[in-house]
Amino acid sequence: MLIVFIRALVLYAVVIFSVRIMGKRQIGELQPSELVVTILVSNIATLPIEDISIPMSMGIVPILTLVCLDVCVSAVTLKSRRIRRLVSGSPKIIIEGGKLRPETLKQLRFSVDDLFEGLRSQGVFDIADVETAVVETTGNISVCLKKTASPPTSEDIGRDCKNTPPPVLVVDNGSVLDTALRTLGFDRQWLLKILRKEGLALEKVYLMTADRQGSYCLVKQPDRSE
Amino acid sequence: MKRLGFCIFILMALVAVSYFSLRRVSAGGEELSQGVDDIRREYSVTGKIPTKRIDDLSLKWQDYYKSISFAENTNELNEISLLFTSLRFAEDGQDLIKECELIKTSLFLLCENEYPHWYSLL
Repeated sequence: MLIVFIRALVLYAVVIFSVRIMGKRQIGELQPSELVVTILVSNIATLPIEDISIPMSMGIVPILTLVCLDVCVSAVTLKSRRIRRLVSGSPKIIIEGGKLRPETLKQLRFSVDDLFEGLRSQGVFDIADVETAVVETTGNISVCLKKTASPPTSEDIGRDCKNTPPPVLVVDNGSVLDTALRTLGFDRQWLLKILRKEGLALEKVYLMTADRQGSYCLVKQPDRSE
Repeated sequence: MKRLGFCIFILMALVAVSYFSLRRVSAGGEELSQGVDDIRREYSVTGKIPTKRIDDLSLKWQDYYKSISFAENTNELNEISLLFTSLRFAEDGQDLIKECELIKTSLFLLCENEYPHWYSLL
């Protein structure tokens, strides 16, 4: 039993390490090769945990091999478009110029229900509003709406507004994120000044966001007496 | 790029570890097979069961077991351990020769299964 427990701990660390090596892309949208590696890793990791007669190296070696190969293949696909298409496939246009392409849908084995589900997930409920729709290599559907169905932009309504970076988290559960403060061009003095103005101690702040203009949003720690 | 370099390093390290484990398994296997041959030779010359040699070989097997258990299925290794125990309690020459042959064949298969032959890859 103890062996199984220790093996589970070690393989947990190996799988976490492997997923970290694969990078952030792995955690989000899965390319076909990444999906294959993820399924294989999860299966391989369970074998040496369940069966103590199998040496742990029989789990660790294939996991590291698969993950490292996947990283190498993704590095190669970055250099070569042809290999990228071979490994990940290519996006397919299913609606072009407002016209649906049923033959492409058949080719992709996408049913009409799949298409509508994909459109709804993009906030589109009327297919007539779609100018172009593309099935990405991850299987997601990207949609470009017709101009008549698109919400007006600031440019469309002639409003002059500057592009500003979004607010960032500067205090997390009473801890100051100094790097984020420096990115905004502020320091702890500025933060303490704001907290004094609000009449709050740092440890009473649950979260605080701020932007470059000095605008901020504060959320207090929940009161324990409540 | 750093990640790619790290992965290439890990792959190379895995190849190196696999190669050295293969060398370790086959070198130890050959040594033990040689020991089994020596036992048989001594028996054919003296006509007596060489208990001392068998005990020494069993100790060698125990060390070998520990050193290769990180790479081999322990069920297979345990089966060979049982054969070594049977060898220690062999009652007559026929029994001894039978156990020696079984151990040699098991060691041969253990080493041979480590080599990437076509039939083991497919």
